[in-house]
Amino acid sequence: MSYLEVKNIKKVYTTRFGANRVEALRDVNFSIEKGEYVAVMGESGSGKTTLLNILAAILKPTSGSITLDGNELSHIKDSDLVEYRRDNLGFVFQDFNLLDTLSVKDNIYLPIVLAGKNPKNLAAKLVSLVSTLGISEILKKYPYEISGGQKQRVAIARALITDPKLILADEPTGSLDSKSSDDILRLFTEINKEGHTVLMVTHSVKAASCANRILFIKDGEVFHQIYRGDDTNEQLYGKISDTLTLLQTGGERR
Amino acid sequence: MKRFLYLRLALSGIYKNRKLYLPYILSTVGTIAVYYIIHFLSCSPFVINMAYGNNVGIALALGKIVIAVFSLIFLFYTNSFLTRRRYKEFGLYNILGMTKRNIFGIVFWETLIVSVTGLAAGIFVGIIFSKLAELGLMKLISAETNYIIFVSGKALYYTVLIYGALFFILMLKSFFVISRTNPIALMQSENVGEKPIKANWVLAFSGALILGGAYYMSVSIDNPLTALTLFFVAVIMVIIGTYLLFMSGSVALCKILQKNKSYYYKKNHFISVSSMTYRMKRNGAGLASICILSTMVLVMISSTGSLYFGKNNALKARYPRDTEISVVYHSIDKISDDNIAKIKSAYDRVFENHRFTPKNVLEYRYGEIAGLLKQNTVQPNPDYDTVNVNYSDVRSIYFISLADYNRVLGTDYTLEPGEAMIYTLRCKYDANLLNIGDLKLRIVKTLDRCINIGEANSLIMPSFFIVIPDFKVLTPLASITFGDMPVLFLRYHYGYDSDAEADETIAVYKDQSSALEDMLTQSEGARDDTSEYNDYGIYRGCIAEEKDDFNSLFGGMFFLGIILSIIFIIAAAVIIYYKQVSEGYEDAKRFEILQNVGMTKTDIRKTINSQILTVFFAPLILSGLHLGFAFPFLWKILQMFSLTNLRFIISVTLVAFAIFGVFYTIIYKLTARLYYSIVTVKE
Repeated sequence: MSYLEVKNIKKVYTTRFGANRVEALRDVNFSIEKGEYVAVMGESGSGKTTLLNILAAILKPTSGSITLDGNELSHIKDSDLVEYRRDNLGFVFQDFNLLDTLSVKDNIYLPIVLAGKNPKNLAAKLVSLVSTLGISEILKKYPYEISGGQKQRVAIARALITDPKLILADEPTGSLDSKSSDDILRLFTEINKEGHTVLMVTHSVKAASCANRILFIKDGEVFHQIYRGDDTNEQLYGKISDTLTLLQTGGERR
Repeated sequence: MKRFLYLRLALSGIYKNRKLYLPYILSTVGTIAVYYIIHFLSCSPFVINMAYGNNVGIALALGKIVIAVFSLIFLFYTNSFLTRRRYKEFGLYNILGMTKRNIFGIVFWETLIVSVTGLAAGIFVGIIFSKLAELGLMKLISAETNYIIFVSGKALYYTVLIYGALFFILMLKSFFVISRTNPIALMQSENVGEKPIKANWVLAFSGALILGGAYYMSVSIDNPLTALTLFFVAVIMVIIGTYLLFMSGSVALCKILQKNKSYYYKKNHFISVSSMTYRMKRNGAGLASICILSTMVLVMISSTGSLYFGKNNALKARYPRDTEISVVYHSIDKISDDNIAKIKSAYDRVFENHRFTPKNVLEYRYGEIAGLLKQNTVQPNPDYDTVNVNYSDVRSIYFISLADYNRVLGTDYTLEPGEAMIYTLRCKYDANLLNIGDLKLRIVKTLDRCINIGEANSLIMPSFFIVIPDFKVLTPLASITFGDMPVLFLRYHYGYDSDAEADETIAVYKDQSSALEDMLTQSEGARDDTSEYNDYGIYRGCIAEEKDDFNSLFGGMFFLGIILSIIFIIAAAVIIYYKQVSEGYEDAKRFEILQNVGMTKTDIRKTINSQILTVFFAPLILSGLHLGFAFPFLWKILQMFSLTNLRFIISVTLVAFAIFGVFYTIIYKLTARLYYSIVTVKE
């Protein structure tokens, strides 16, 4: 059994009176091993955000099952879902989602404090984390005072501080300039090398080419996947571009 | 055609933001209506022609100015909330190709719509309620009125003029901001001010210091006249202190809490404290305004309420009997049994003519002198500096003869020459010897009750009531003069209750006092009313006659207090409403983030609750504290109005606070619901 098992996920949105049914996910199956770095790509409307929300336990699938580290998601009570999310998942969002009322340090401590733990015990972890991410200097500052790239590093630190089983990233470079994007992507690679499992949803070929495996979603299904093998980022970039071209041209004819 | 486009854009802008515009328009309607009502009353013939009508008129004229100034500040405040959200839209129009002139057009139409609606509705409500207010006022002061509605042209004119100008100023302000700001900045005007918060320790500290100073003044001042003058200084200090405390002190407090790691890094404290810091910075001014307004309402209602509801007590304390007349002489010989028998027979003739029987007759003689107490000696001197003197050193001294005391109170005390008994009011006296000028007395007993002298009740200084064997003892004091004026007053007091109708009681009282005048003019010669000093004088009072004056004075004040309180409550409610709406929009995003990083809905609810509670009830609690410290001031000032029942005034104040608390809680409940609906945590 894999670390993360996604089986026959289907998600149907219905309008209020059930007149319109939209199938966002038809039948999604894939699995991720521990320590993998997987990118999910797809066009707007392909269902990748729905998939991410389902993995994040924010949305419930219409049918199918998700198992993370042996825990079946549908077996968790609704009231425990927030805790599940807090204890098992780390999130990195496109628009950072930092609280402007908290200093950088307190933003990082946020999930720990919310879990009712004493942040003192994690002070050492914070120090090593922020030095890896290069944000030791700005701990006392507020989100208002730092750049977008720095904000995203803070968000990554916040996602990592709880040692989550899975890191879910939603377009983490979407709001950043190219230099900051490169830095953030390098950090994701580093994090992955340290043993974290990462699932990243992205539009960007560049971002996807940093992953070890790329899943392509189209019309609510996993359409194709590419393994890195021994390719460099550049070689992988080429393969992804080709696949996307195929998806868009060939796909339309289907 | 183009003009209609602006009008349409203005209308749709108001409609889309109706959650903000509706309370704004309502608050303008409210303030305009209240202004009209007060202006109407201040020139209403009913008010002018009633007893003490001039006093009430002056109070109302003052109220008019207060409301005009208040409206200016208040509408500026609410308007700035409104425009912060509207500027975003204007920025967008600007980017989409509208010139700033075009935007001015929209602003112009918006201002026009709001001001015309506000003025028309406000004046309409004003006209309806001005009649009701007039009826209410007349009822409170028990005066006659009719049911004809009429509109005061003068009040109308000034209302339109003042509020028209106000709206015009607000429009100019918007023009100014729009013309000075570039479109991008306009679009982001809702998000400005997200700077990190730093506590300003100097301001926080001086706020606490100023407030402490005002509080200290209140508890330390014991001279009522000084209290009256310094009350306004203290009010201004409290206002400044409150603003500083809310704007800087609260942030400083949150910073202290954040420094305390073991407190701060707890699930329930972490979010609350950090976002409180943020909120206080933004809303300190609003909260301080709420606190000040609440305090004003509380002080006004409790003091004017005490006056109104305590007026019968005050009358009763001033006049222990329904009708009281006293004759004043300055020489001991004059207050002889002979003279008094003559006066009494004059009274009896009047009673006989009217077939009137006085009830509970209270007659006695007393001597009166005032001076400053030092150790065992009171130095008679009526000319002490009334403003700077320490009132706890002044003593009003009332001498009562042993015979009168025993007769009135049914006792059988005896006194040797040189001995005296003492009863004290608002002070204590424990020594065995008491010197009053050259008069030396041995105090053999401290009494626990005494004849109820109305005059002593109506004054604010501490009093000694001294029972002496007879008035001959006072000879050494009779010769002391100040200028030409002897300082010793000797009075014969005659008071009684009446079962008769008020008209009859007043008729008897009038006949009685003219009979007295005639008799005294005959025996003592005419008095010169222009001179400060006469050989004799008459002091008199009749509750039945003075009741109307008391009613009109205190009723008018109470009415004004209620009207002003209603306005201030409306103002506080609207400020609170705007706070909730504007914060709700900001907080919605924040709570979404919190949910994403693993805060449960229950926790979010709890945090919201504790924050709203704190933000809401901090001003109420501080205004309660303000009221508590204002109380010593009020107590001293009310004493000057013969209100001497401390427990009564305390209960009126507590009731006022309780009623206000209920109003406040209702406003809280209503607006909290609105806040929840805005930040509704998404599924």
